[in-house]
Amino acid sequence: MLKYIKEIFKYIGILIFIVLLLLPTFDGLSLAGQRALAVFVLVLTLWVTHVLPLSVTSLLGIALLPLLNVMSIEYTFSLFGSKAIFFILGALILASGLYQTGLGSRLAFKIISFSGSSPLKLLYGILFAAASLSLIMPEHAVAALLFPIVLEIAVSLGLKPLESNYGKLLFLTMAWGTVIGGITTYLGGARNLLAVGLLEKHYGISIGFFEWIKYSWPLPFLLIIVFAFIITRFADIDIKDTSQSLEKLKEKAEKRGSLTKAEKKLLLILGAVVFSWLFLSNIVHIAVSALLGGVMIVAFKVVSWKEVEEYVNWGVILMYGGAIVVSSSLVETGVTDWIAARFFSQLNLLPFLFIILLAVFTSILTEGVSNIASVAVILPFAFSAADAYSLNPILLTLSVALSGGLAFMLPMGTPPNAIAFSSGYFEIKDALKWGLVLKIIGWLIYILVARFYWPLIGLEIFI
Amino acid sequence: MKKYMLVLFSYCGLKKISKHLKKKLKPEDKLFVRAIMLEGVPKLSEHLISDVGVLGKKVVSDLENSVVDIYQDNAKNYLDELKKMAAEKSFILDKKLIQQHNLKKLKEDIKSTELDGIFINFSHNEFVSDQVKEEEIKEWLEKIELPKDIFYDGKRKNK
Repeated sequence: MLKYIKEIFKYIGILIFIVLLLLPTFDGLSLAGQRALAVFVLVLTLWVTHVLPLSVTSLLGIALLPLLNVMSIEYTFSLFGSKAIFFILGALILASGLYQTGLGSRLAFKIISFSGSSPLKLLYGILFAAASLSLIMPEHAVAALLFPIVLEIAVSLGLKPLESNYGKLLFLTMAWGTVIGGITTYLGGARNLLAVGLLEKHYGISIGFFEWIKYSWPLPFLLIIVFAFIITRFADIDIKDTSQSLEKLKEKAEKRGSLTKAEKKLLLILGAVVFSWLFLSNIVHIAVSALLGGVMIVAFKVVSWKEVEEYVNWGVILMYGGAIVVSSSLVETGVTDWIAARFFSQLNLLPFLFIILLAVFTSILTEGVSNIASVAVILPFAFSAADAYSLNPILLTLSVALSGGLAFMLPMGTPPNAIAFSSGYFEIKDALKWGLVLKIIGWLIYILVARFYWPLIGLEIFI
Repeated sequence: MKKYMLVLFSYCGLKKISKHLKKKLKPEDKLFVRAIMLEGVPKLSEHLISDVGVLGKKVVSDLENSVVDIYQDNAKNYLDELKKMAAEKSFILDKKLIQQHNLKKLKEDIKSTELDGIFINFSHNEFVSDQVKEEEIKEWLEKIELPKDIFYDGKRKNK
């Protein structure tokens, strides 16, 4: 079914692209603007339908913009050189160190081992390990790192796929822990930084590393508490003792011995970089610290460059760069202003209701589309609305990026869900049922945060 | 004496499969078990992890190894379980592991063993199982006249 919808969507997108190129320009929109809109529709379609790899679609967008005289070739390519892209580059190199040296798994072992021997405490341990590791490395990588550990727990407890309820809980907790943790910092989900990159391009304002955490933390914090409560109160735990698996984990942790030289060096470098992000960002831009950290872990032989290359699909840089270029073209050519005047100004919608609807729509879209694509697609339109309603663009950026991370329901929504699903321990309907509950709770928490917490710390709805 | 074959594409919901076998098999019956072994994760999974999740070859391969290992362990454990069941219920067991790509061998086995019935446990999980290969067997089974009980991850669905 989804396959057919995607096919139809693909042809509709291509058709709209051609029609927009052929039609006379809309009233109030420049020729460059109309063409930028056409390219945006095409790229959006290809991102959503995955007809081409995401990075190749981005390249197509970058190539079409100068080809159709939307922007000059020099300017188009220069948009690619965004600070956000270089921060992501450095952060991914640093995260490769955590994965390749085994420091990430060591931390996960430690956290889970501390959790105690009851089944419930073990679930808390996995939840906490997943969420806390997603503060310092991409949530996808955390899921990949935790997967073999959780699998080992399931096997050592003799849990059978689709028969054990506890088996389901283990993998869902792992996936959702990473998803919740990943919205907290720039490191957990690069979509956060992509959103800030777009904010910078459009308004020339930015959100610092610490500032982001200041805004975001109540959402993951409360979601974790509610999720832990749901597990405690409603989960059907069909196993009494998990001490056997805990013993195995401890054994494995002991076998690793003390910290290796590479792990110690990595800890020092990471400490220095995080310190710089938190306290020196006014002097050294966070992207520069990230790049220097990336250089240091290779220079000090924490990991080799080959290992770094094997850890990341570097197409990500093209994907993010392309998203920034294509979305920026809408701003540069006046499309966002045109939409603001033509569409949002005519809508008689309460601004706060609009913000809520925007967050809900983003979090629904992110279930079927890569969350990076969701952010890149929705944010330019959100900026149009910001102009029309005099809304605070920082608040809209947070709304889209945070909601874009809340993919709990479908395996295709985000890789942690797909990784957990490949265990075979749960069915899609399990993830749908509990994921929907978490999503609705996520919306409610978001509304509370936007309505009460953000104004309290000076982030007003209107500018 | 009747002859049956159990083909396992999925190792989920095996409790229900065992229950079904216990009901069907009588002493002296013969059960051929053909356990399909996963050798790699399907493209969809790799696409989500690598293209969307932007993780590199090493991470994809680590994950793939974990998934394949657990799949193969589940297969071997279930075959041991069936061995015990055969001893308890006094039926004859003939078990073989079949490489995922070698469906030709499976078809030959089905044809040559003159079966009275076949039980198959397919999978709905397209992140683990190769749906194309499963579809190929389903279409082929439609063509040959053989009583069959079809399961998806342990749930009976005779379609």
